[in-house]
Amino acid sequence: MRNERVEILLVEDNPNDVKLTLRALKKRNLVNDIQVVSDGVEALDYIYCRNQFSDRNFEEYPKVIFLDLKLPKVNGLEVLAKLKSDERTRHIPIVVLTSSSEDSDLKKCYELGVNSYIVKPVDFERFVESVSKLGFYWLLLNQTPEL
Amino acid sequence: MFHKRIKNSFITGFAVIFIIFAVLVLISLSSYKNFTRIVNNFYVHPFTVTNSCRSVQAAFRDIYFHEHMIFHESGEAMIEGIFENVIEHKEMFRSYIEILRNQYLGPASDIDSLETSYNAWDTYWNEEVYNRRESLSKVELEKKRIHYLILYDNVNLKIVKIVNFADNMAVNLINESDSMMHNNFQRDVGIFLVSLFIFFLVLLTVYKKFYKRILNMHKVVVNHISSGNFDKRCDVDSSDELGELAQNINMMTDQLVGFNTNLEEEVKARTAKLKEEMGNLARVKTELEQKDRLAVSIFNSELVGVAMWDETGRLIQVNDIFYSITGYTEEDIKSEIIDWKTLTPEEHYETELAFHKKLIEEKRVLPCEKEVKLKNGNKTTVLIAKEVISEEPFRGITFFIDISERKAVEVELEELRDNLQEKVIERTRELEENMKLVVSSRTSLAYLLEDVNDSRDEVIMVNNQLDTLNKELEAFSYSVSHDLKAPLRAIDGFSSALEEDYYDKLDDEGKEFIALIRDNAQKMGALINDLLEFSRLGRKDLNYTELNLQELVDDVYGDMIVLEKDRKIELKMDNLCTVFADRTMIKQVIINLVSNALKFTRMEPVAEIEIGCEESEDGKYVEFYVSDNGVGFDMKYYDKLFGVFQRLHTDEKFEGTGVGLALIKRIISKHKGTVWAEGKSNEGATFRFTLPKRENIIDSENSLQNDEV
Repeated sequence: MRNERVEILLVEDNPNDVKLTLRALKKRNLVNDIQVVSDGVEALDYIYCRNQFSDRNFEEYPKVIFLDLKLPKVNGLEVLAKLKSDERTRHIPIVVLTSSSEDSDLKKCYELGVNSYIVKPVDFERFVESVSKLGFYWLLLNQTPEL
Repeated sequence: MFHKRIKNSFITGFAVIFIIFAVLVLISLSSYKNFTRIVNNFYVHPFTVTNSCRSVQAAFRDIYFHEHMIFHESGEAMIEGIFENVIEHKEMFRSYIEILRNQYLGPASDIDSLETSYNAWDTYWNEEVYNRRESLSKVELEKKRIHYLILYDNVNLKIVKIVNFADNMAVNLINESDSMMHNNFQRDVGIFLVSLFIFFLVLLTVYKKFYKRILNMHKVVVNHISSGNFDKRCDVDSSDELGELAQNINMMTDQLVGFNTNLEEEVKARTAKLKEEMGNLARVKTELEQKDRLAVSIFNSELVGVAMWDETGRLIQVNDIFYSITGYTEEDIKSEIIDWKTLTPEEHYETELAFHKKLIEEKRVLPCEKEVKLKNGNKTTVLIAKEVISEEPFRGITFFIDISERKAVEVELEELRDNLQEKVIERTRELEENMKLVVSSRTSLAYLLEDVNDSRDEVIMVNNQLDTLNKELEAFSYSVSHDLKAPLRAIDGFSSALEEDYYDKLDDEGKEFIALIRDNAQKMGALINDLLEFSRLGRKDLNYTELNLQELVDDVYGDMIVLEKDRKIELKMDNLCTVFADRTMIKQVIINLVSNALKFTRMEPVAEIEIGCEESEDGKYVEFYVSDNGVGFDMKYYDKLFGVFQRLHTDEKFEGTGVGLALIKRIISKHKGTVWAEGKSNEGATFRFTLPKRENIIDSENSLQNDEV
């Protein structure tokens, strides 16, 4: 595994949630490198190495993507659909982290091939627990195909 | 013509072998002859010749020795003795010469010359010396002796010549036989090798020409043809006997194949024929079975009574209808006591006998009505027909139908016909009155229809408005769920971070404030979740299933009681019934009701909870209730009981969001049921709801929804 490989791509428009997520992950010492982008367009730019991310190596995928559903410009569902329908990126684990517990969202996400679906709780302790469990699972336990 | 070639081969082969042997024999014979000659020459002749030569020489010396003595001896007696010896030797010499003459291989002139010289010498000795010995002086004698010696030398020379010749001859013969022996050996070895080579050639030819081909044929016959593989054929590589044999084997194989194919075809044809016949047999069998079944089923017909009887009128076999009409049983038939007399009323005996006579004559009797005596003595009327179906043995069959009911109906009809006329008149009058009523009703119905049409338009419009509202609500609650919770999470999260990172810097009051902030933020989160749940219910479709309320309550109560271990709770529960409803929603209702009952009895020393289930008075609904002996409520606040966010108790006393009962009302309304409560302050409360029974749900499905929002 190369050192420069980004381990988590966090797609989140709410700066509070970004801060809390980062804090939760760092508290458990789970993340060496995390890239935060604030909307769907940036997320896709990052994965496909466009615009500001054009010098990134396409093949250095993040180990996991934490994706909020409600995003400006291109929303989370569209990002999910795009990545899961692309042969080259469909293997990247995507965890949807959202406030919405609407059945329709959940159903759509699973139809598009999401790997996990987490409803962000209001309670910070539970939030920390969820995020760190996710980080632990996707970064340490889950085996993804080597590239 | 075939034969000649192989016979020729054999003849040629034998001839070659014979010639070789003949040559060998001849060569051996000639060798043998030469050898004999050499042996003769070498072992017999040379020694004989040389021996004879030596004998001649010895005899000659003896003669000379004795004769020569005469020149020195003077006594007559002695001379005469010598002479006798000389004569003896001379005879021997002569005989030896004769022998030599026969044996000598050199020119005969040598022997003649020797004889001549000898004669000259002998004559000289006899005439000049011996005979004149007394008259001769010593000098003369000496002269004579010299001449004698010259003659002697002459003879000796001849003898030596002969001896030399014989010796040379012997040496030559030895040399010749040596070389001959040597040459013979080489030649014989050569001949032997050549013979051996030829022999192998012959063997090879025999192998190639015959044995190998025989082996090949053997292989084909033994390995292939005899094991049934007729694809292989012998090679026909010449026109000799083996070729012919191979051809014949191939022909035989072809014939075998032909026979085999014929046989197979024959077998196939026979098999097919056999199958066809078997098929026919099976078909015939099936047809027979079908006919048999048909016959049996006809006999067992449940429409017509059937009875078979013999020449005495005794019944042999009957069907079930017979039993059911006459009342007799299978045992009665088996005991052979039922005959025509048993079944015929006595007053009809004569008629029956006449009837029977007619049957015997005409073989069948067409259907007619007849009275039959039953087992219990009663009589019934049947429609009966008879037929003789077999003469030998005699079998008659009777078909009959019970027409006693029809008879009765006929009687009734008779009566009815009498008062029908009256009734027709009465009915006509009634109809006229009804017609008047209908005409007036139709007029009012027309007005009514107009009203209904107006109302329907109104309902459709309201429905559309409701749809729009619902959609707006959906968008609203989605946005609430996402946007309203995010700031709360931030409040809670950062308060928590503050608590963790600045714990040392905060005094007790500060810590308490942070705890309060977090507590409130979380409570608001819970409120939002409840609210969302509540609004989501309005949009959810019901998923009807058969629900066992007993199981559901056991399940819910079991889960909750775990959290209330320290409390004393008495639960009364009847056997609960089954309803047809949405499992998730009804489970939510039960959770809310049971948890409320547990919550509001918390202050009681012994909590009494009763859960029950009963059918409503009109039988269309199932009523379910949960009652407790808790704090209860004042009936004057009943209006607020089922409202959203309405609470009758403070949060410190009993926690809650005020959504629980509103949610229950919403779920039950959705199921077309009703929910209500009875209570008194500090004396407990009873919550009841009804759910329509399954058979009433379909109708209510079609009616309009009028949920409160």
